[in-house]
Amino acid sequence: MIRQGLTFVITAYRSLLIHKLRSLLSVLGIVCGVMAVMVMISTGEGAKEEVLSRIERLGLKNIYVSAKFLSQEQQKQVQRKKSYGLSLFDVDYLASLSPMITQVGAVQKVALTPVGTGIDITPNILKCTPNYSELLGLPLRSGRFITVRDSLEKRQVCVIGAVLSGRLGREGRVGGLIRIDDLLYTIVGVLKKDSREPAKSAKVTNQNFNDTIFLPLNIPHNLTKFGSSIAQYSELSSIVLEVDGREHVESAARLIHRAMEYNHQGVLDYDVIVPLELLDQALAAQKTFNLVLSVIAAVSLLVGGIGIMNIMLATVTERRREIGIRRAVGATRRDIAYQFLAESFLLTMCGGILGVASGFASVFVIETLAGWPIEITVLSMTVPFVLACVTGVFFGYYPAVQAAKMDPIKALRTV
Amino acid sequence: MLLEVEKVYKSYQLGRNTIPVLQGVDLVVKKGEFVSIMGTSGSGKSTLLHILGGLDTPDRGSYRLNKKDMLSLSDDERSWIRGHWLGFVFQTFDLLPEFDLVENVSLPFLYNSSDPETMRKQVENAIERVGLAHRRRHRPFELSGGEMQRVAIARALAVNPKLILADEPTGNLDSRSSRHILELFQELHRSGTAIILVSHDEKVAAVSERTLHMIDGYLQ
Repeated sequence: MIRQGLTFVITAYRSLLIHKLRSLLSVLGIVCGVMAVMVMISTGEGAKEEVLSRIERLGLKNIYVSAKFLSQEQQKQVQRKKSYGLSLFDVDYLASLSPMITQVGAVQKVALTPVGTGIDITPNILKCTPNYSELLGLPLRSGRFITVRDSLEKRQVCVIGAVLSGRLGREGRVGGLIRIDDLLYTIVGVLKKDSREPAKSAKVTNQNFNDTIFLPLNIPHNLTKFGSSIAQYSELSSIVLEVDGREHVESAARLIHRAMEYNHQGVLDYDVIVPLELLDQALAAQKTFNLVLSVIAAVSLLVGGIGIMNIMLATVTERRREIGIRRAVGATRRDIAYQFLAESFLLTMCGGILGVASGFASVFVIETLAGWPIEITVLSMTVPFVLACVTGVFFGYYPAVQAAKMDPIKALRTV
Repeated sequence: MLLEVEKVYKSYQLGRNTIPVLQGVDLVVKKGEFVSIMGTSGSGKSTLLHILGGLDTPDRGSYRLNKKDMLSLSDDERSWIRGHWLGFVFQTFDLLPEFDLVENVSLPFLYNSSDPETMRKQVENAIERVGLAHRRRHRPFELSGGEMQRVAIARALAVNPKLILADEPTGNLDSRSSRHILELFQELHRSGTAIILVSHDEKVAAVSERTLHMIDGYLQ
C-alpha cells in the first residue's frame, strides 16, 4: 500500500517534470491564493499582537481623557463658552463621579529640556500624579516613584527612564541631579527598562518611558478652596481613570463622556480613549481587510482549482493509451483514480510550497514598505498550504473519476 | 482446460448501424498451448483478444478461464485476473516513456500484492529471459523497436502468467526483429506458458502449434 502510494507519487512527479512550464502555469492561481491566505493570517496575527501589547500598555481597565488641539474657529467658541482644556477641575469632578472609578491620575507634558547633560537625546518631561506608575504599571529598577508628599511639599525630585539613566552615566543614578530650566531636581527613582518596541502605527500614546523624566504634578490641597484661577489654567495633557473591573469600562466611559460634555459645555477639546474600544476598532478594521483578502484568496483558489482541473483533464486525454495499458496489467478503476488524484495533489502541493515561499516574500515587502506589523506563525504557513492541497484533491477529483471511468478498450484503441 | 469460449457474440454500434463482429465464436485452449489466430484487419480478432483478457465483455455466450466464469466477475475481479494470470503484449509496445526498463517491467506489481522480494526476483528473471539484463536502466527511447517489444514481453512475463495474449506483436518490427520475437514466444511456450497470438501475417502463424482463422466473425 505504501509502496503503491509512493510509486503513484513518483509517477506523478515524473509526469509533471515532462511538462514543467505547463505545470508551473497551471499552478499559478493556487500560488496566488496561498499567498493571499498567508498574508491575511500573518497581518492578522501581527495586528492582534500589536493591539494586544498596546492595550496591555494602556491598561485594559483604564480610560483616558486626553487634551485635543483646537482649530482657531473652535478656539473662539471655547472662549465664548469658557472651557479651558483639561484641568484639575476635571480630575476632581471625574474622581467623584462614580464608585466604579477607583483611581484618577493626571499627567502634564512640559516643554522644557534638561540643561548641561551633554547627551544627544531630548527626554520627554512629564509632570504626573503619584499614582501614575501604578495606573500604567511602570516597574521601578531602583529608588521610589513620586509620592503624594513630593507633590504637596513641592519637592524638586524626579524619576527617570532606564535608557536616559544609562545615558547620563554616574549622574543618572538615584541621588544624581538633573537641571531643568532654572531648577535642580534630585533623582529619586529609576524605572525598569521597557523592552517593548513603540508600536509602529500608533493611534494612541503608546510611547515607552525609557527616556522620560517624571516630575511631581503640583496638586493644591483642596481644589475648590484653591480658587478657580490656578486650577483652570493648569492645563493637563491627559487624565487616566481606572475602573474597578473590565465589565464596567463601557458604562464608565459613557458616564465620563457625559460628564466631560457637561463640564466643557459641549466643547470637544478632549478625547475619551477606551483601550477596550480600540481593541474592537482594530479588530473591526482587520475584519474588513480580512474579508477583502478572503475574497481574493477564494477567487484565486477557485480559478487556480479550475486551472488544475483543466490541466488534469488534458492530461487524462493525453494519457488514454497509458490508462489502457495500466488497466491491461491489472489496475482497477480505483488505482487509476488514485494515480491522477496523486498527480493533482502533488501539483497543488508544489503550488502550496511556492505560495508559502512567495507569501514570505510579500509579507516581508508589506512589513518594510507599509510598516504593518507582521507575525509569521506556524498557523499562517500551514493553513494556506493545507488549503492548497485540499483544492488539489477537490478539483482533481473529477478528472480522476473521468480517467477511472474510461473504457479500457477505447483507451487501448487510441494511438 | 485453460480456457473455454462458447458461442460468443459481440457487435458494435456505429451511429445507427449495428456492426456484428463476433458471431458465435467457440474456442478451447489447453494449458501451455500456443495458438495463433489469423485474420484480416477488422475481422474481430482483436475484439476476441480483448474479451479473452477480460477488458471487454461479449453480448452473449460464455467464457471460462481456469474454471472461473469470467463474465460473472466484477470489474475489480477481472482486474485482479489480468494482474495475476494474464500478460498482454501489444503491437505498439506501449512502454511508459518516463520509466526505465526495470520500472516498466515492474508495472504489473504496482497493482499486485506480491512482496518486494518476490517482485524483484520475478522482474530480474523476466528481464533475463528476454535477454536485456545489460540494458536494465535504459529508458524506452534508448532502445530499438525489437528491444522495446522484448521489454513489453518481459512485462507480461513478470507475474508468471498462465496465458500471454499478444496482439500483432511483430506488426511494427522489421523481419529480423520479428524473427527474434517469435523465437522468444516459442521459447516461452516450451517453458510451459500458454500463448494466444493474433496476427494477419502467415509467417507469424507458422511458429504456433495450432492456427485458427477468423473470417467474418467466425473462428475456423
